[in-house]
Amino acid sequence: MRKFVLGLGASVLLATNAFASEWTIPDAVDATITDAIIPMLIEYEGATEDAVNIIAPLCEAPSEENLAAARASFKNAAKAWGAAEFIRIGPLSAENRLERTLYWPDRKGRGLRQVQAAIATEQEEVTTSESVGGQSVAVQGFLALDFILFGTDSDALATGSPHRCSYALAVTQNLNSIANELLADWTAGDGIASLWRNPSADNPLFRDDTEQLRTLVKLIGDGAEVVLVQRLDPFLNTDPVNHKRALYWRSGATIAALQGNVAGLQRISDAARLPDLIREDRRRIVQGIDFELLQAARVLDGLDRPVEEIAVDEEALGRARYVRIAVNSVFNLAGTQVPAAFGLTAGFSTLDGD
Amino acid sequence: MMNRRSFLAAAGSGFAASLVPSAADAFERADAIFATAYRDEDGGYGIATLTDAGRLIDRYQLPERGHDIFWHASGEMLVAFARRPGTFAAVIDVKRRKKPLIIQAAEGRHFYGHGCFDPAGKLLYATENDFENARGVIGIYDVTNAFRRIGEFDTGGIGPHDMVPFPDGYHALIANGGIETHPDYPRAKLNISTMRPNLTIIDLRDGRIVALNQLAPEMHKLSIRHLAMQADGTGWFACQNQGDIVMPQPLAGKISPDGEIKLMETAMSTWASLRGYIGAIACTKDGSRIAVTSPRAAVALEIDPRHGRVLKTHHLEDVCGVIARDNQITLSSGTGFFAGKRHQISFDNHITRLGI
Repeated sequence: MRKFVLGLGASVLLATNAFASEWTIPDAVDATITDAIIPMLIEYEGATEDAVNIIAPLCEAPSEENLAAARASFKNAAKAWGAAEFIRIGPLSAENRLERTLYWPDRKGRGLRQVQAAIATEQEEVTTSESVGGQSVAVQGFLALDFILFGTDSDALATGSPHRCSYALAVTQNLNSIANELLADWTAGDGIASLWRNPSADNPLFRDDTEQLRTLVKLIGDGAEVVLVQRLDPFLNTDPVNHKRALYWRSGATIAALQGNVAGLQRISDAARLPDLIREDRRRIVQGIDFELLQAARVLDGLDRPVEEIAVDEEALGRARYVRIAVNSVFNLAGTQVPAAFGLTAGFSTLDGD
Repeated sequence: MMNRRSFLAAAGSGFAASLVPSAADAFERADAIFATAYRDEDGGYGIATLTDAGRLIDRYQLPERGHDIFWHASGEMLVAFARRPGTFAAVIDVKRRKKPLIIQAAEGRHFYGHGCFDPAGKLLYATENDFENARGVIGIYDVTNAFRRIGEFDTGGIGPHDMVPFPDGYHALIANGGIETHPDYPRAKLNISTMRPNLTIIDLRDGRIVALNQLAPEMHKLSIRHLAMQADGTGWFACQNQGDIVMPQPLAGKISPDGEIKLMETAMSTWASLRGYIGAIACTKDGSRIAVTSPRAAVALEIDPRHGRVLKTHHLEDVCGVIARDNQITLSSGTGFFAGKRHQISFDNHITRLGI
């Protein structure tokens, strides 16, 4: 059984569940927003607020304990961002929020050099949230904070390094400010959530439930691609494995961020209940996404070590490569097979245009 | 311009004779011949030649996914560029007398998928990425010497994508998309916050940049990607929005032969309907009709640029390829449609016409 969808004269056959009383595309979109996206943004905003509240005392009273707490708060915030970073439609793509939050990949360390220069010359512009938010995107997000809290000479934060600590606090406040903007936009009555929930002919993003569903599946596929080509491949594809090409290698938060990534994709997938949307004979293909994400999450749970150690441990590297296989499967499923199973077309040009 | 008959004269009757009877018949009846890259049902890639009626003439295999294709003036060979960040271009003998010649990208360079021949057909130009230096270049290849790479020109920007020759044959319009990429991070966009695309006009005789134009600073996330050329040297460009597409922006415009840019004026709702993304653009010779496609919106529009009026709207899943012939617009799609006929292959982003 198939559901016939009409929109602006276009007709698309979607292989969705035949029983309208059951799970529908609008249900899936609403649940994704309500049960995954907004909670993840709330958690991310909370993690950045915690970091602000933990780093501020470090600046006032430098100590080993306060530095350790600040570093732990970074890891928590990076993990929470890992879950939320795939929500790239709408507010995150506006005002450079994505790049301001995480400037990555940082090819040739161009961003890092700006951060090092800001510290070395004690730039005044990076010491308040407002002023750092107006600087280059490379000096105001997680990549900067990774170096400030864990890079060369960062141990001086425990004994007093006023400029560096002010910079850390300013970056954390800036991250929190951006997190609040994201949350405000996603919870606004007339914002992106409303557009996604209410397709119509004059909606600038969603004409019909086909476009609603396409965006939902694309969210997972694009997220898996980011994990694959920007996070795992850059260091796993080097021979010998070069841990310095991994995101957050200094702070040892590489795996925590990956855990966040996979957890975020799981959360979206769980909320959307994609297998319940599709007709039964195609359900197994869609269920593959949950299966592969679960495998990736389980392996990552046992791998929470600095990537520097993983790079020289064949057994750990094998696990990391297994995670890559699982994420690659999610990418292939959500990028090609699942859209095709839903009748969204394989997206030869649509999902991977040029 | 070369048509089917002059192509036949140039390529020789051996071409038709090399086809299976049904394809030879389609070829004989055609008013125009097109070529496009495709993916087949088994995941293989290639080039297909088709008639204006959408009938398949022939297929040629490629080692990987192709992007844009060019006919040599002789009508005897096709060059297909690999899709970015591809490292090959394939030279195909349409009569299959020779094995395909594979041109490998130079060290430190990859192809962006577009290019053109010089008027005499002795040189091939390709848009390329000098990725270590984040610099766009035009690679120059000697057709008469097994397509040996003999030099390069700077494009005056980052991420050159499409290039089209002006009617004089000695100048080319280049769309520098502005997006920095590197093979270490395939298809990751490394400079979205600071990207600054531009259009340059280059003298192909010496590489001199004759004109360089940018859109307004607030439009810096409109990556200028694809081009079309009128007979009088007016160029048309099409963009892909790398920013927030909730706020629609104009996605196409024209550039005069002396380099003056003007955005196309049409209703904002028209731009919104393209979902921030134009995959290909075509114009009629006199510029009275512009066609743009958006695979992301599953829509193609034919627009009268004088008034910005939408003349025709085509709803077609995964539509991208478009070409204009007289006042006829031919479309292709990833779902297998070409000129309204359905095939069991996915057509790639662009269509080229024999003799153009």
